[in-house]
Amino acid sequence: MSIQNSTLLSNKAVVSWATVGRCHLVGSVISLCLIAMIVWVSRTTWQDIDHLEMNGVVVDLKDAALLVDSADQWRSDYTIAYRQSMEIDQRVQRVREWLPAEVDWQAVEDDLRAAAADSNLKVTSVFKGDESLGERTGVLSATCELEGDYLGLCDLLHRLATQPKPFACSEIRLQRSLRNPEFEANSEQPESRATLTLRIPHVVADSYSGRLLISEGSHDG
Amino acid sequence: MSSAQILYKQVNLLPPAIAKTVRLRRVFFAWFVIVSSAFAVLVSTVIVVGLNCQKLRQRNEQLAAAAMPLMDLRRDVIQLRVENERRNQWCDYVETAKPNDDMLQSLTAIAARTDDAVLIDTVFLRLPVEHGGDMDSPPEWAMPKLELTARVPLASSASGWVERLSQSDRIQSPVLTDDNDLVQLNALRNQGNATRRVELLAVPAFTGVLP
Repeated sequence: MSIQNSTLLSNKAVVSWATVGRCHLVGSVISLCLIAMIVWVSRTTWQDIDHLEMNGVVVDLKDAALLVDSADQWRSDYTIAYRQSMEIDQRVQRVREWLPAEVDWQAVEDDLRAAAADSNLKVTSVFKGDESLGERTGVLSATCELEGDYLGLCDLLHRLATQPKPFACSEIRLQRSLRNPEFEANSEQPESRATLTLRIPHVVADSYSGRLLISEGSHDG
Repeated sequence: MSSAQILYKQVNLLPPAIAKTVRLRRVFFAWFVIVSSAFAVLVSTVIVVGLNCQKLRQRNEQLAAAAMPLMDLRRDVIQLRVENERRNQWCDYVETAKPNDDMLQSLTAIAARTDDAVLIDTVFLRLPVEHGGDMDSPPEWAMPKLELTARVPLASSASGWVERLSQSDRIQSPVLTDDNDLVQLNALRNQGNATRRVELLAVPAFTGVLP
């Protein structure tokens, strides 16, 4: 009897606070919460991870996947770009060969007189002109007066244009000497006189030549 | 099944309180099973998701580790391309400043297309020069120009000479500045041959603007 009484009492205690309805309610709420947690866990943790931080660098994973897929292409592109860079280096070197870093007027005058002498021309005067700054190069201008024949002048123009550090001839004023028949036999009388305006390009910092050659030089150094 | 058992099932002899408790226990047990199962599913989901996340993370780390040197390579390629393009452009600009033989070519073209009957006295030849001003209206000293002064026999027309000059690729738009190229501007007597002096204006061709 005592056992039956205690069971009844405990059953009464259970019944007193947990009716069937309440049990359904609590069970439903807990179950729904658990289901919601299951859905949340499965959804939230499976969301796409776009970025990953590695060694302090944030890596975009989609981009990384594309990059790995196209690795061979990028390696090939690097080879091509590097080869192009080497070709440009050679091109720059060729520019460096004809474009002097600076112009020494005395050397210019000596070169000019030597070229004229080789072309059988007589230099009557050489004047140093203005120094100017162009977009591409700096320029030293000069004026030179010559005496001689036409073929010698052509030879000089060819020499000036093709010498290792070429000079540009921007203007020429050529005058044939009017020979007097009485002095035809006088071989010292020049056939023509010419006035050349020369422009000698050189590297200067505030120009494309400076950007190309000075920055290349500092880069190489 | 015996009739007594059927009777026992059909007739509930338990007191209402006890019967209610028994039913409550069944309901409680049922919900306990449901909740426990849901909890087990939750735990297993967490474990599976965790394992998958770990696998995914390892795979992502491998991907990132493989991609990082390639990212450096790609950056180098892009930098190299930009640098190449810029240096190429600078090379193009600077190479156009290299002195050329346009002057010699123009003089040679004049000489080649002038016969012995025409005596050229003066030649003024100017090639285009770079200037800092407006490109549409360059100053006079920077514009290409060709001026010739020559002596032409009175008996022959200068138009033939002009025609020959105009056929040269090096000389553009040659025109005589005298009146219809037949007006005698300044007749001279030279070695017994009557000549007249003519002036010609033209534009020399050029392959580049000098620095």
